[in-house]
Amino acid sequence: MMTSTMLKTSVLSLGLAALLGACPSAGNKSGVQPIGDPKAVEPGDTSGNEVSPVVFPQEEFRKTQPVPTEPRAFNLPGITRFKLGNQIDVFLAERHELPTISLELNFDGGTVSDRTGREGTASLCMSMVSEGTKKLEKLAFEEAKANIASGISSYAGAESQGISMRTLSKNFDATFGLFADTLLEPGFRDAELERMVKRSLESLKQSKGSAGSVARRVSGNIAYGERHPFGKIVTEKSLRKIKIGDCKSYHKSYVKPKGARLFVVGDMTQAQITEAFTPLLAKWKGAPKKLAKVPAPKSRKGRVFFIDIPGAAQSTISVGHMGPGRKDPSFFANQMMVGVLGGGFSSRINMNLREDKGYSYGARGSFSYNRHFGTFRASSSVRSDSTHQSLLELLTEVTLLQSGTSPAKVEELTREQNGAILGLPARFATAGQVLSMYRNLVYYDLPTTYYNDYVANFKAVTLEQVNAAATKLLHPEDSIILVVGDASVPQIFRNEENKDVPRMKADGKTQMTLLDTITELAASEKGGKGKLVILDADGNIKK
Amino acid sequence: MQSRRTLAALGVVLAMGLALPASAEAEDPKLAFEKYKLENGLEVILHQDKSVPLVAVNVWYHVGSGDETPGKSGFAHLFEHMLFQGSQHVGEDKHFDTLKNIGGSSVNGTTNPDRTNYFEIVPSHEFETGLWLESDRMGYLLPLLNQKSLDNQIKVVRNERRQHYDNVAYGKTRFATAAALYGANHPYRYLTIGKHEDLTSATLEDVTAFYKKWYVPANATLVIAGDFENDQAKTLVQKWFGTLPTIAKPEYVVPAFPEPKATRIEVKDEFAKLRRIDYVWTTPGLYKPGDAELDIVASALGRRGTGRLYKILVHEKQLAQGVAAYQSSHNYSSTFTVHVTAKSDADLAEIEKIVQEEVAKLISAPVTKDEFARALTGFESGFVWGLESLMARAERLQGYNHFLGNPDSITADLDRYRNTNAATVQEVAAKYLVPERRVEILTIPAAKTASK
Repeated sequence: MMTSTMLKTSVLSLGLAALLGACPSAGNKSGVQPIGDPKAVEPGDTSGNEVSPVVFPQEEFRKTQPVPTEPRAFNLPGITRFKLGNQIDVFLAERHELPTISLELNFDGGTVSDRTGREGTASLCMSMVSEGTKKLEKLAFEEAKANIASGISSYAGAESQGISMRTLSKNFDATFGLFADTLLEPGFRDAELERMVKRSLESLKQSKGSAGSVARRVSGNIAYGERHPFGKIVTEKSLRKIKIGDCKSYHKSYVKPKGARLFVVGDMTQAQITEAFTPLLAKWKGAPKKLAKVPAPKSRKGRVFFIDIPGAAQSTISVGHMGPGRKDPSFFANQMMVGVLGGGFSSRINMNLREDKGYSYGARGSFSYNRHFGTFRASSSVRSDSTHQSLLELLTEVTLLQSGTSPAKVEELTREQNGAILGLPARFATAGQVLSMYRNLVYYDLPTTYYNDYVANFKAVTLEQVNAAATKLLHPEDSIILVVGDASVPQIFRNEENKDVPRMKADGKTQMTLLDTITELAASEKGGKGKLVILDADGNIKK
Repeated sequence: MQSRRTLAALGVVLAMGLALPASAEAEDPKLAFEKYKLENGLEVILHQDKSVPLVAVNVWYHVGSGDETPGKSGFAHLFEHMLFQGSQHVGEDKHFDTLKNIGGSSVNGTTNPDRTNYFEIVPSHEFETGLWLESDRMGYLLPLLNQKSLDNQIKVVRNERRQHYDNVAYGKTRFATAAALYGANHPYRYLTIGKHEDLTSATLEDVTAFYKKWYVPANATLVIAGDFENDQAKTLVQKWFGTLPTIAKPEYVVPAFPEPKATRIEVKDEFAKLRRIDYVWTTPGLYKPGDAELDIVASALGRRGTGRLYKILVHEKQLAQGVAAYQSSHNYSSTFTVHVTAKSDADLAEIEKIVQEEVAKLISAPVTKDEFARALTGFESGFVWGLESLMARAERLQGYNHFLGNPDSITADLDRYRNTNAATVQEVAAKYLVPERRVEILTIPAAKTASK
């Protein structure tokens, strides 16, 4: 009935040291004029009694980055995988250093299953699952958990959902009892649903207040289209339609053992898991309802989308389009490419918008994935008066890389490769991280042996592949631009002398506002020539 | 000179849970470490854990925004940004690049009122590069300091303020609260992020003076946690930090305990859509008598699901979208806050009456046995959960060392909760949480001006 496989993935030293050959040698290579003479001795604090001068020694060894020692062989921690009855796949990251246990039962399902007009059903109903059981109404349930400092929660994502618990080992039995009741016999009280709907309505209202939350709310809607499962927006109207019967039937349809995944981290063994679940599985059987097929995305008509937030202190901006899927054969090269563009602090986008121009606190660009699609997005939160110039900078960085005008350089690729390869142990440092690495594989339906070749795959990426990925996958001329900010803020632009100066209208007298500049952008080549669409915070076209 | 303290085993030593049957009282988690001091006064704490080939390098400078002087608000944090800009041997804007190239992670720095920290996790075979980077910015920042870089980071920090304070709901509330609590010269008045105008006026001379005063080896503590040998670590620490000069640890100016007048302030907020009422009191500093008791009061009042205000306002009467009660502890003094976000149609006067009544009840009668036990259980379990990551352990050692002078203080910390009782909790509530000491801030959604 049960099979158990130990997955031990080994990443060897793999001549990691060879990769380090490309480490930049240190030293002040910048053209910036230093203040004072580096050899100068800092004067001591003359106010005190000490007379001896303070000397920061100029030692030769400080001039070069230390040479690494031999890397220690690192075996990627494995997980134990086995099956429970009723076709549940178990993934166990066993650790006994700390007396803690967390586990999650994870199911297919989520907002993709929301019916048109009842958007929010999955999310609301999965939250309802942990709002009390048949035995314990909400407050009694909360006290039962708090008395032993345990947690039980439930959620629905776009196409994955779960019920989870966390506890100290000594309270496992009590917590598991509450967990089992949550799973099998959620309270689903009418009064509780009314409370949740009311709270969700107020949260929705609050989320329309600031640029960041407004942008998060509408971005999927614009990218995938208004009727697409990944694009639908929860509204006051749709929330009010959801009744307790919807939750009961949702639970009945989607919270089923067949095909469910059980993720366990911490102070637990396979035997303990089996023992805990066996009585539960006698009562809990069956297969979930099949999810409908996800159609192809169809982004909303328009090129530049704008939502006005009067008084906004910054604008949230993004440039994006559909991207490669997670299982794209060039995945590793794709990741390196987008890392060069926007992956971290040292990436082109951040160095431009933050370190060079000072328009932003940080800017990034990345591919993100779900089971069906991938998307590309470069984004930032920027000073209001530099919104338009920041958009141009984002488009420029994407274009420079895509067109090959400024292809990825070898040191950029090396940095990204080193970061991915040498940074691997840190991604497997805690049991929780180990599990999430394997969870990802399960989510994308990749083999659990995937990390065996991970290092080799990153290492094999060539500069040609990276630049080919840029040419193929970035579409600056065909991207969707989303701007959420204050329409009335006068805009600057960066002139030839690298200074920020007011951007004037053709009459030369008045400064262009944000709305003026993005109207112009929508009509220009830079923006990919498309319509400017002005939306309200619900994503509806504003008249 | 050297104070050593070596605990039995390596890594986290635990005697809780399944290994021990429920017979004996469970012991607290312990972190093994060795602490010593270099001749120049730099404190070093080594914590070994060889389970993964990683080393966390973590430096605390014992200076925070609480040590700022009037007119220089936000400076400790701006300065923290400058420490990433470059130093003599590492080069300009090379910090992140260097770390990415060796597989570094968790690379950052943070500033709060009490201290400034800098940290990174590096593969253990690259551990020395972490020391190179930290020692270079400890000793050799000034040669590369330049106006262009400062101008840029002033802009970046102002963007940070816009993003995290000026452009979010209830951001203004934070500034208004601090302004009501602290006098014009108190360093907590302008929050760690500081005022835009103070940031704009920061000069290179300011940066230099701040560096020379506060960033001396004797005012820093280096924690190294993870996969290394103690002897090897000591040799390398001596190599990179040992020859830095001995400079006297600076004097701290301890601000007077803030005793604000009871007052009520209204804040109009363009981004908030729901009203929020905040009641705030000044309270004893971190680890000072009363601090732990107020954590227990906070749990009894505001804990999600079980707190008194949660039960009445969120659950039963549904007047509130959310409630929170917390003791926010810092070195010189703390604040105790109760805030309630009102539902759109709720009667605010009714909410406030309930909050006042419930706070008064904790003054007139002790917390219940269940409430006390629940709070204690929560704190104890939080400690265990918080020890998994290497960086969290490094931070824990730093925190205890900074505030209590002894990295090994987990039990002492938990004992504060175990050794108090409901009567003492009541006394502390009665002393601090009285209406005469209360600052009230009401945040109201502002009507938006029509877009032009």
